[in-house]
This record gives sequence, structure tokens and C-alpha cells, in this order.
Amino acid sequence: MFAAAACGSSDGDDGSGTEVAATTGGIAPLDSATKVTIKFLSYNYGTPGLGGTGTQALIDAFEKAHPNITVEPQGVATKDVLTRLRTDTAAGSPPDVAQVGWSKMAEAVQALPIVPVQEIPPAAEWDEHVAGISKSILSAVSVDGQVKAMPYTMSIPVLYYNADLFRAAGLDPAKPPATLEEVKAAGLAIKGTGSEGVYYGVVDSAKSDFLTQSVVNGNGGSLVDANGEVTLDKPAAVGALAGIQDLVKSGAMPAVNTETALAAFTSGKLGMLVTSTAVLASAMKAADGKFELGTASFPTFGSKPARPTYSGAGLAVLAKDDAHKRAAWEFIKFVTSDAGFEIITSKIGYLPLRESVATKLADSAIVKLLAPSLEQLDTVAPYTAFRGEKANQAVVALQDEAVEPIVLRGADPGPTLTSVAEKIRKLSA
Amino acid sequence: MSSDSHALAGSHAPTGNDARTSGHDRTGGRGGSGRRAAAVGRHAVLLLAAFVMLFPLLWALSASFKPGSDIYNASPLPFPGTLENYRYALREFPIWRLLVNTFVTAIGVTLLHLVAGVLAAWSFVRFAHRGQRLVLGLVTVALVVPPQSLIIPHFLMISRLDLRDSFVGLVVPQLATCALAVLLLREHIKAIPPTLIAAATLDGASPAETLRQVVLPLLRPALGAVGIVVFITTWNEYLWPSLAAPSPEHTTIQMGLLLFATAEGPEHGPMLAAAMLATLPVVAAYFLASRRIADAFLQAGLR
Repeated sequence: MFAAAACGSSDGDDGSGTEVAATTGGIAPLDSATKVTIKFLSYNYGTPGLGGTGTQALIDAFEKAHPNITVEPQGVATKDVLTRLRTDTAAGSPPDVAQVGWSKMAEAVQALPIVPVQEIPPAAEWDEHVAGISKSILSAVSVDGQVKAMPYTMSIPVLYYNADLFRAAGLDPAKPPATLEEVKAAGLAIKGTGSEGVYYGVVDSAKSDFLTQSVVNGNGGSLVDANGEVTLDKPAAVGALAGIQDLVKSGAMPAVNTETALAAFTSGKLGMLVTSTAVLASAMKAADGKFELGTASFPTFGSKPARPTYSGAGLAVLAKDDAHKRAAWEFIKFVTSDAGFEIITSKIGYLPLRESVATKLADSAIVKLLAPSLEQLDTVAPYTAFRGEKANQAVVALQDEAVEPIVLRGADPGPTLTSVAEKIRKLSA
Repeated sequence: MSSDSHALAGSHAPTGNDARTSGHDRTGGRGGSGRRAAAVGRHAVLLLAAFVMLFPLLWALSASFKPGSDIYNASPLPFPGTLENYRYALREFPIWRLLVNTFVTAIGVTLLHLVAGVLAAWSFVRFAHRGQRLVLGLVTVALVVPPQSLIIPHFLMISRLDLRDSFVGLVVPQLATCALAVLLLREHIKAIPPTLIAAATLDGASPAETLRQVVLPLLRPALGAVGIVVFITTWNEYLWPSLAAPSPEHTTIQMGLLLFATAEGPEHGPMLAAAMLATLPVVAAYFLASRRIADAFLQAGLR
């Protein structure tokens, strides 16, 4: 039926900027007579709107291409993914494939019986499949040189802007701001016309720190260093959040939550919004017929290079036996193929991680707006995670007890980050 | 509250518009208007308190009729209003299936609570035995055990019995929180005149017949009150359904509402519209039986 062989993993480094090494062995393809049903846990499945319809389209297309494999999709609220995976695992019936947000992936890999996706197919098949996928993304998601979860619905921070408000403020929409300083100046100019200026969505309602990391990276800092030591209280990190706080203090940025800012932007009352490309499709839908939507690369801190990290989700395999592992791989292989990414980009609005798909869809409105982000893909930094099984709890502490008070309530960045860093060190111990 | 105003002697116009202030003359004719003024004041305070409590719900109701771009506007009224959020929620979201699931679950848990509550309460009153005080003490202790602390053993139990993602697995463990029903119904059964129960016994009725023919008809208001409280509590439950029945086939409306909080931009308007539709059955149930609920609890407290 299928052949199983021993799997090995290569030694590697922290995965930043290296080629992803292939493993040996792997599981051979299923024969067409073997019928398998796999459970797919997805936080997009069943949701009203783009995510739900896009995911259903992916499942339908896969089942049509693989009549012997049935996908049994299961919906889950985004914030409940980890809890659900833990309970399913405790009950002895984990899903075969799960869509896990990157902010929760480190804890999931630590606490759950996740099978590294790179270990499932034979090495040659793996190499052939990932050949067309963005190398920078693959190396960014690798741990010890191995891809544990497949990049799936990926997004990076981008600057959205309302071209009409730019013109009203005397700004040139063809030259959107590229640095934090320019963003502040443009924000104040728009504020002067009676609209709100800019909003950096670092206070993320989903409790992800991807934008916090992107901002801190951009100022030459980090939340954790290569050895896993907490560094979020170092001057570069403090300076990064002080820079965002300065936007609020100057009046360029309103002190509101992300949902309010998103609603203000989509209703044409906010000039610029820095957040994930994940909301692009819904922003386009909202802007249609109301205002001209533009996008620009994630802003830098002066002349320092941009180092945005990614958000969104990867696909993790929790299948128990080889038949289900192989079927899970077939599903993952399909949804991250050209056909899969075409659906992911055109129907849901996530990044096409294959250049071939970006080229094919180049004339579509969504890929035109994704162009600045696609150009910035090479600068993507790995998503860093705090150490230990309480990594997610540490992220929540960082967001709730440091980022929110500093950015929205004027807390002193230095002492606030120092005290939260201490707390996170204890959680990571 | 006190008032300096008083009605002219002999005048008790219901409107109270003829009141005149005239120093501190304490004639008998002024008592009525003083009481009226105090009552008006009390009602004003109650109305204000009710408004404060209802404000979030009223805001959500108003916002559910606002277009997406106006959701965060400070205007309390949805002008111009739209039904698009409701249309979207009904079109894109399996709200009817979720409502049916929630209704089946809530009715199942309510019936189980009532059956177990009546039988336990009747046995406490009718069959005095040596360990009764201990058992009653244990039931009272069960009342203060937080339901969340039972979640893990319940979850493991239904997992090992292969009852996850089934109405049985969703409903039966919620019987563990029936201590309140037992204690409330016991109070009501104790309040039934003993002569009635004695007369039934003298007529040769068995305990089961006495329960069915004498006690249950008299317990109807209390059963209604306890039933409504259990129904509302179960309807609003989130944690247990999220663990016991996560699949779309069995999940409840409270879990379903979270599906609007998508990673691609939350759909607040349709979410509020769906939340309003989800609230309707509970509000209707409460309005139908609010007097009964208040009476039952008040009487239980007085006895």
C-alpha cells in the first residue's frame, strides 16, 4: 500500500537565511484504491465571508483532484485553536492537519505530537514541491533547518493608505511614506484636515505579537536573541515602542483599539493603517466605490533596514498512522501548489508564496496591492518565540501588560518593558 | 426622598399638577402627594438603574442596524439604518442550525435538572433517613463548587465513552450542576401543607402516586421558575460546548458567534445581528416567566 522508512532530520542553524535541508526516507504515495478520510481543523473554515468560502474552495478542489481522500473540515475560533488541539489530543482524536497561527506554533510544537511536515514525503518529493516556494519564507519558518509546519495563509505587515485623504492633505499618493518619520509627518498633515492620521496595529486583538516583533526588528532590536534569551527590555526594543508611542503623543495616531482603527480606515476616516496583509481583501471590499486604496512597504526606522516578520498560519500534521500522514501531506501539497495558492490569494487575500502564482495573477487588483509586500518578502525575519511551554502566555503578557499600556495609555516604555521582561523570563524558566 | 410640595387640602388629582409649595404646613392632605413624589423619585432611580444595565444591549441592538462603516460612530441611533447585517448573518451563517442545537441542548439539560431535582427533593421530604442531614449538606456543598472545576473529569469521561460531539455528551454532564434545582424544589415541597400529603397516604396512594397527583400540580410554578433559570444558563454556556461538541453538527450558537471574529477582519455588524437573533429566545422565555421566576425565588427565600 505505502512504504514507510526511517526519517532523519538534518542539523541546521536557526533557519535564518539558510537553505532548507531535505530529510531522508519518507512515506510513499497512497495507491488509488486506498480510501482515507482526514480531519482538517481550520479557523477559516465555516466563517462567514472570504476565509470560509476560500477554504471550502480549496477543499472542493483537493477532493476533486484526489477522489480517494476525503477531507472532514472542522471549524474553530481563532483564539481557541491551541485549546482545541490540546483537548482533541487528550481525547485521543487530534485532527490530521491543523491550521495553527504562527504566534501559537512554538507552543503547539512543544506541547503537541506534531509530525514535522518535512519528514513525511521522501526527500526528493519534498525538494521538488518546495522548489517554487519563497526561500526566505521557508527558511524563516524553519526550526533547526527543518520545516515543522507548512507556510499556508501567510501575511506580512504593510502600510495601507487612503489616496483621497492624501490628496486632501496636500500629499502625493504616488509617494507614500517609507520611514516612521515620514509616516508621522504625513499623519499630522492628514490630522490637520480633520481626519485621523495613521494607526499602527501593534495592539493586536488576536494577541499576536507579529507587528510588535516587526517594529522592534526594524529598529535593530529583538524580543528574544538567538539563544532564546529575552531581550525586549534592551534599548533598541524600548526605542521602537517609544517611536510608536510618539505617534500617539504627537496626535498623528489615535489611541484606540485595532478594530476601531480598522473600521475608521474602511469608512474613509483614517489616512494610513499599518497592519497585516490578511485584511487586504476585506479592505478592498470596503473601499470599493468609497475611496482609492493604496499600499506601501512596511515603513523603516530611518535608514535602518525593514525586518518585518510574518503572521497568518501554517499547516501542522498530527496524524497518527502512515496512511493518514501521507493523506495529510497530499492535502498540504495541494493547497501549497500553484492551484492552491491561486485560490488562497484570489479568494482569501493571503500572499502567493510562489512566484509563478504572483506572475499569473499580476494583473489582478489584489496582487497589484500585494506587490510592495511581495517585494519585501526577501527581508522577512523569522517569527521568534519565547522559550518553554508557556510561550503563548508570555506573548499575551507582552501585548497586554507592555505594548497596550505603552502605545495606547502613555506608559513609560523603559520601566514597563523591564518589568514585563522579568515576568516573561520567569514564565520561560 | 422628601419633597416640599403638597397638594391643596382635599385635592388628590392623580396628575399632581395642582401641588403648591407653601412652607412647611403639615396637613393631612399633603401626605398623598408626598408619597407620590417619593414614588416618582424611586421609579426615576429604578429607571436610571435599568437604563444603565440595559445600555450595552441597547447599543448592540442599535449597532446591529448600522452599516459597517458606522459601527464605531458615537451616534446612539442607527440612522440611516440597514438590514444588511441581518441579511448577511442569515445568508452566510448557519444560524438556524446553531439555534436548533442550542435549543435541543438547553431543553435537554432543563428536563434532566427538573426530573433529578423533583425526585431528589421529594425523597428528601418524604423519606426521612439517618444520613439525610449529611446528604443534604453534600448537596449544599455541591452548590458552591464552580462548574469549571468539573470540566476536566467530565471531558475525560465523555472522551473515553466516545461521546464527544454528541448531544448526550453535551447534555448529560451538565446534570452535575443540579444542586440549585434540588434545594429550591425541596423548599417548595416542604411548603406544601403536610395534611395534603397525609390525606393522600391515608387514601392508599404510594409515594410515587402522591408525587404525581398531589405534589407535582402544586409545584408547577416552581418547576417553571427553575426550568427557565436552567434554560437561560445553559443557553448562554460557552466553555463546555466548546470542549464537548466542537463540530458544526452539534455546536451551539455561543460558539458559532465567534466565527465572525475572523483573522481577515472582524465582521462586527453581522456578529451583533446574529447575537441579537441568538438573544431573542432567551428574552422571550424570560418575559413569559419573569413574574414566576421572581415569585419562586422570593418564596423560596422567605420560607
